[in-house]
Amino acid sequence: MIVPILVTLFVAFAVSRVFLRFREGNVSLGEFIFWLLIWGAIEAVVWIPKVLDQIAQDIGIGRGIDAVVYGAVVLLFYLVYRVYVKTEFIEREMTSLVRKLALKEKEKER
Amino acid sequence: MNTSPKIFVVIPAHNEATTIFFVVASVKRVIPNVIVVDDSSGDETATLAKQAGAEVLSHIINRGQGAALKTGIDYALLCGADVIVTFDADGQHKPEEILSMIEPVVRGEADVALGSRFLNGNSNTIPFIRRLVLRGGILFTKIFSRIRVTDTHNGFRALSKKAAETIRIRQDRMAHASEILDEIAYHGLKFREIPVTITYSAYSMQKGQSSLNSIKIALKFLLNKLIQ
Repeated sequence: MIVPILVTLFVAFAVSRVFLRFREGNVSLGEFIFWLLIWGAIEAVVWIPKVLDQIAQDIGIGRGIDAVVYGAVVLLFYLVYRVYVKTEFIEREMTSLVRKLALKEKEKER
Repeated sequence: MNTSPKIFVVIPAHNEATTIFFVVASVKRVIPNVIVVDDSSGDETATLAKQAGAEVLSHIINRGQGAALKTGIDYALLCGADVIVTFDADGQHKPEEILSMIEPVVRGEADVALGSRFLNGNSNTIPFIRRLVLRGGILFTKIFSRIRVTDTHNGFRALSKKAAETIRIRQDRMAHASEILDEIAYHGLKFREIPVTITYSAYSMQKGQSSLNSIKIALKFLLNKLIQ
């Protein structure tokens, strides 16, 4: 029983953070509900692991844990892609900065 | 172009202290306007290029050959260039061939002239593995950029003002060579291939791309095509 309790404590902490940011207006109502659903789903899975198995079976994957692993792989792929695009963008920004400095420096010389 | 066109030679350089002085000096004998972009070299490249009489621009951090080339081209355009020649810093190109390179562009027959080491009939001097890689590059370019050229990775080119303004070089590193061809095809620029001689010295082979690296460059080019 130790794992569900620890997770619940963490979820309570996370939800309180989101709530505070929602109250400050940094998080919109939509985002607030989104996070509530995510954390709620985590709570449900932790307390009633059967839920996960049921979902897995519904979408045609044998075990709940397999569904989690598949989902995680897909998510990771997506995140890697996002990071790649972001890095590429930063690299280009950097190049244009370096170029501007080089041209400016040359202008000064003239 | 009725009045004599303003011609600039752009040489991107990174740690080329061994050759840069000689390259700049010999290019200057053919074309007086030489721009060297020092891509944050750790050696005396910038100083030597200046001593040889080149205009030197310096990248404060290393951004790659494609980036350096673009900086040089931008500067040449600022100086009012009509024709821009790109030239390698490692001494593999022959300065006297610049004249035949710029000819079709100066005459307005082409927007871009591309150097090709395979046109002059002595491609047998090219090391075997290198030839294989370059052939692969040709096929790759035909498939992905739908442009037919005989030499895809030659740093020796001439661009008209219009071409220089149109072609966008976003690839900082070596994939820019494929990108330039891609842009030529995309914008429907008129191009012509000009036979050039490449001198494969131990130095230029060591400084150049390893054959394995070409696969990495190809992947980089494709990945970037995907996320454009």
